[in-house]
Amino acid sequence: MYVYKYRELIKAMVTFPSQWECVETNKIVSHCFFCALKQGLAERRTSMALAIQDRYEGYGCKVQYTIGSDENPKGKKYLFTHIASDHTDEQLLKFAEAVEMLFDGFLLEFDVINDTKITVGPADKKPAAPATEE
Amino acid sequence: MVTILKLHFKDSLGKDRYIKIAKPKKGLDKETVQKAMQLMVSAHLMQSEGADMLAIPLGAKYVTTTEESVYSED
Repeated sequence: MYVYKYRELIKAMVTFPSQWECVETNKIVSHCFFCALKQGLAERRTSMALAIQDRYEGYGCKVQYTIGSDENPKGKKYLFTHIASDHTDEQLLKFAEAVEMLFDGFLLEFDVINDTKITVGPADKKPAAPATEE
Repeated sequence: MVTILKLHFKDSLGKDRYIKIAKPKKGLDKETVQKAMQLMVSAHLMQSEGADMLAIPLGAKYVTTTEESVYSED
């Protein structure tokens, strides 16, 4: 079982498109499974199953607030986990207002972290179960 | 000496939940912290196991830790 970072895998698929062939897709609300064929290093085709675990939609996500100060003009990053998957901008802004009241500094920006990863395994086996929130 | 602000909440299942804030503003008063915690509650942003993680604000306190080196090879 190999675990690829999302960007690494997309880069590999874009750089060597002939090595990958998407044979099945099944987009579900929380995550997406698809199977692909990958050209093996020893010139043998290896059937792989990929499970894209999109924790942003299905398994909670994180929000990162960057707080600037005189000591840290570029900002120090603070991470909050267990963010509701169906959150709205209004919720994020309300929470940001509270954060700004308590932190020593000023809010520079905030980002929602889309914590996606792709698990790769043999196609004849069921893709790994999606990870649970830490 | 490191000071954090520890916010104490109850979640919607009655479980204690804490948010620790590093480098908090100094000298925060009760009203400001209560208002901020109430904002966090009303945002309904954090969820865990189907529960609203921040349901009832219970209190807040500054926690200061000090280090006393016993041994170091640096």
